[in-house]
Amino acid sequence: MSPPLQGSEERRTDSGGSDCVAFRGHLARYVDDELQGEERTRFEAHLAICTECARDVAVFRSLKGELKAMGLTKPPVPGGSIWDSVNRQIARPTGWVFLVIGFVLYLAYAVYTFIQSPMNLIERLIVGFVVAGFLILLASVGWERIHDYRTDPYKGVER
Amino acid sequence: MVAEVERQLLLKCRAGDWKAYEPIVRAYEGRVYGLALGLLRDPEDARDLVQDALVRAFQSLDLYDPDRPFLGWLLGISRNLCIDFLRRRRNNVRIEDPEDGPSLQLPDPSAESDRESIREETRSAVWKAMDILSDEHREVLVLKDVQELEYAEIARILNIPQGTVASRVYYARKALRESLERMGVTYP
Repeated sequence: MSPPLQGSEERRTDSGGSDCVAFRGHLARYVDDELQGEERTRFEAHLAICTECARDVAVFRSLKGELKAMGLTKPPVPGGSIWDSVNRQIARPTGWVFLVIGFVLYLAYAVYTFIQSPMNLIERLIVGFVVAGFLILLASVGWERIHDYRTDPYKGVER
Repeated sequence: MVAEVERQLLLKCRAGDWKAYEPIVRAYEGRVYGLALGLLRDPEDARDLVQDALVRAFQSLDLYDPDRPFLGWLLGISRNLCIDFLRRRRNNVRIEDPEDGPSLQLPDPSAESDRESIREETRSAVWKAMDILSDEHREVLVLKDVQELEYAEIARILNIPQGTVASRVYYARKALRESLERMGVTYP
């Protein structure tokens, strides 16, 4: 329901009264130029007789201007752009995918070559143990780092 | 940015062409930074958040509705990240480095003339007064007065009715004025 239309001289003394409460939603929309048509006309009629609301409109417009003038929409990097950092983060997953695919293919090819090679059994065992040991150590260190990160109680501490 | 150009660029991004994302980033990074700075109150945290928000938006482009303005969607993601960040910051221990100085900083604290100096003082007071506001009030003021979004877009981002947005904006401005008055800044 729309707030009542103001008009009588008696209302002039009712600044900040119950009618103003009814107009509160209108006040913000009026300051932000989002109040149109009849609602706007009614509110402007109210403003003409209500010093409290008229003062609120003036103060709120001033505050709005101050906030706008603070220049909070400047680029995050003065004179530049954050694109390079974003680009790196977007491209990184693709890089990892290629790296993992390449590593798996390389490993498969190495195993194939190893099986096909004319080495005797002893040579095969030596190379096999060295490679297996290296891969187990690599996986173990990787797993330990992931586990440490997940269980680190101080990882949320900021400096 | 022209809506059709933006649409074409976003379609390319969806198809995996991440270079098409560059003009989008350059067009909107300042808007996202404004929101993050207004909510987080720390330029360094705000910069990190801009990066996270833009990356998250790119990775979630499949969820974006092309009939909706991209900026509003992007600011919605940024706002949610800010809320998460503020929650974490409150829960986490924060060790202040004495050389860091105060976290409250205006972007450009230059004051060449007396008039400019007074203006800077007022802005500084407004900035500090914003710090006293509740997250809910600060958020709606940043979206309305800094980002200059329409009530309909703010309502979509906050997932509340437009009437509630108008009412929240009213009370947020009232709270800001009261904070300023407590700091000795009065308006005629």
